[in-house]
Amino acid sequence: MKIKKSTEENIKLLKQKLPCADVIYHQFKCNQKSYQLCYVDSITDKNRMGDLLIRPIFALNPSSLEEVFYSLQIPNLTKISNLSDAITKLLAGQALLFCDGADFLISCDFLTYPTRAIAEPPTSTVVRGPREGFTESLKINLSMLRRRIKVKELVLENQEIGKYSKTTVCICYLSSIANSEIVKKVKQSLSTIEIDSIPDSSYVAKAINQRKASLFKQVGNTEKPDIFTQKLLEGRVGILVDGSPIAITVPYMLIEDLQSSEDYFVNNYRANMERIIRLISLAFAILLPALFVSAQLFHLQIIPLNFLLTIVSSIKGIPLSPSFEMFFTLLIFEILNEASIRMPKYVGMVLSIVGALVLGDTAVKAGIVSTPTIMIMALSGICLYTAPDMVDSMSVLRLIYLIVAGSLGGYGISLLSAFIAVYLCSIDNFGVPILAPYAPTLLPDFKDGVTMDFVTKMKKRPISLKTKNKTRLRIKGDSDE
Amino acid sequence: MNKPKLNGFQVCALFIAICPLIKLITAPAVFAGYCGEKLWQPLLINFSADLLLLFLCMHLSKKYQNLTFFEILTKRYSLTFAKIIFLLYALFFTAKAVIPLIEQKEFIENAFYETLPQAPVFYPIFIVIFFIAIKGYTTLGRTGQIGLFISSAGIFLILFLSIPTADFKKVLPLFAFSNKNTPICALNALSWFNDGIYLLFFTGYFKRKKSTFKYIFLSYAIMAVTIILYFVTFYSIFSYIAPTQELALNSMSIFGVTLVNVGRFDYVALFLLAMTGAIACALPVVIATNCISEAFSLKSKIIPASAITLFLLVITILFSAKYEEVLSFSTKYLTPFYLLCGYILPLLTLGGKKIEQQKS
Repeated sequence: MKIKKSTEENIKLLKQKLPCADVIYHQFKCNQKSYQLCYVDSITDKNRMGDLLIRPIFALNPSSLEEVFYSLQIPNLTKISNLSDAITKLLAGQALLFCDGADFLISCDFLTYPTRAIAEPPTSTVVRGPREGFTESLKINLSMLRRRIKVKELVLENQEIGKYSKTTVCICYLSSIANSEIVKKVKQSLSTIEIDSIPDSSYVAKAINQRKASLFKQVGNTEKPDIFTQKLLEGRVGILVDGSPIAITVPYMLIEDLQSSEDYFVNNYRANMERIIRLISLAFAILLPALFVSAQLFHLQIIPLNFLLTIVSSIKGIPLSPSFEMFFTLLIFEILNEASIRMPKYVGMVLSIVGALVLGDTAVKAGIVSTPTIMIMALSGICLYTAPDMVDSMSVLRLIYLIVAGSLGGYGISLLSAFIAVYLCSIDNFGVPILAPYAPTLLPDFKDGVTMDFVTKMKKRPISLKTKNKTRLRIKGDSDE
Repeated sequence: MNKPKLNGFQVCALFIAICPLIKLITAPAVFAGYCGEKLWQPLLINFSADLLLLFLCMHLSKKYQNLTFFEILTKRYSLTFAKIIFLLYALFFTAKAVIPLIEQKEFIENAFYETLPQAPVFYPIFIVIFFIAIKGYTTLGRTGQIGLFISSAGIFLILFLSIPTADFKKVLPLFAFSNKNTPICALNALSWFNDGIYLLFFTGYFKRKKSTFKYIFLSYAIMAVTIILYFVTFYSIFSYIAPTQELALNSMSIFGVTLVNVGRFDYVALFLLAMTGAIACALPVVIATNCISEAFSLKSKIIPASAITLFLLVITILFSAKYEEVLSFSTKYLTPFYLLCGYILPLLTLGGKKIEQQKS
């Protein structure tokens, strides 16, 4: 519908289309012309609007809206002649200025949202290294990115996704590094999303996953701009979603979640030790409960004699079968875990006392669970959080292993491991195998795998990402390899 | 049709990590029964025959850069002929999968379960086999690479625990005389050997680089040496009673001194080898599935994989308690079939119409 020359009619139509309490209509006259200003109160910076729009108009004393348009010193000033476009702009935080006698209106950007301050993200804390984390504001996130990459090759492409939310999703990549095929696939995946709203980046992640029902992650995620930047520089494509502090990166490789940004800032030997510890911890987290249950039920001969005597004396009189006992204990752990996240801070101490007393002391004294089981459960739970990004899939996998171990024993664990290995070997994300650089084996990429080489020796980008520009580090005096 | 991609290293990994696994369980006792302390000699014969097959594959790969075995047969003879050959090979690989499966069942039930479990613990292996079969060569190759670390660790641990208790004087003198049963043993052991045939089916699926075949030969040699060492160690531990130790993998490491103090941590090796053993049992099924898919030009592998897996499941259920009879049947009636498919039919690639040379 076209904009009419009468502001009263325009406003009447606007009020019909947008019967919202926070849409403000402000009429004023200047130089015998009637102007109507329309804005959404909750998302408009009224101080800036007054300083940059209203005061200059009164100072200018214009004879027409055309004169206002060409005289105002406001960026993103646009002429709109269509009412539906005007409504879209209004709801996106722009102020609309109508004028009697003009068949168009002017929209000006005074968008402001309340945002959280930049803080260290709770999901990736480090002792050494940057501590900034992304926030829910896309603008702030992009500013953090721009601060770290200051070249023209950084491409930021916006898309609007969400029928009702019209969430801005920004695809970020370095045009001289990222593989064009991957960029194309990402854009195609995003363009196929048809959804009401995008409350979080995980919705985007789930939509672009190539295997929707997979237990394992298929996109990387990070809350830290320094990690995000490094991933872009390796050749990945990043996605920032307005309203979400979690950035997505593709393609994803499983090895990413075993790495920490701190590995690159600390002593190399320490970093390698920590990575191996993480890998062993993950194996403990998933396999320890299952192995313990299968050993008790089917393979007692695996356990050394002295330890076996201790276990047998501890489990004497326990009414539950070993598998059910372990399952029950893990379930209590998951309940405590869930409750500790949801519970208000004031009663957090109550939970820790109840949890410790109930599980650690009372249940053992009552003979419901045995001490080795509590120990295994606790160790498994702690080990799981050495790789926090993998907690989602690994905690479910732990339960699956437990069920299999309880019914089939050690061979069941072997078979399940073989099945998972084959499954992971069959997954490619945007053309990159999830188990790279181990399957397929890419020896140069081993420099930053489970173990890592010195940062100064990581001269090439990962081969698995098939980047355009393969060299990331050149030290003066080095000959080209 | 898009060809699945393998690389030379994955083929090497399959030879080192997966192919040896089916030879570790009952084959040592069978060989010891035929040849006694000279059990390494029929091994040499089998490995040498396979080397010839590897040479043939190298020649084919050099001559016909990207052509698969099926494509070579089609161009040399005809599409119908190629389909018939592939159906024959589907039968061959299905038959080749039977003995390893029954062995694996015996091994698992004896090694891990002192009291019989309530659930039939072995049969879920068929889910794994089916899953690998439908995924195809690319996944198989990558799994082989993962299996390389696991199998190597398992075999190394078994040998590490066994060698200190072995008396290698029992196999001496090495070259004094040979056993007259050596060629018979080599012939009757074809169900466990003839690994070179896998390379024939991988030809055309991996990009041949300058040193690819050098590494493939090297990996095959490593596999051969490891198996010979394993067999020799086995005989060195048990000597005259070796033929009665039907499940070599269970019994070899049991006498390790460390186990007395620490407990049966040779089970760690057994669990690792059980994991990769499932993949080893699946290897012939993957090839058989591919053969049927090529023969019937099927896009999806689900039907042939289901049919083969189901057949093997039924055979395993019916004959798992009759291992001796199955082995006897295989040696009496299937040996000529294995010989035909394993060593004679591949020579078809050298005959027929001439194919235009492809530029590298």
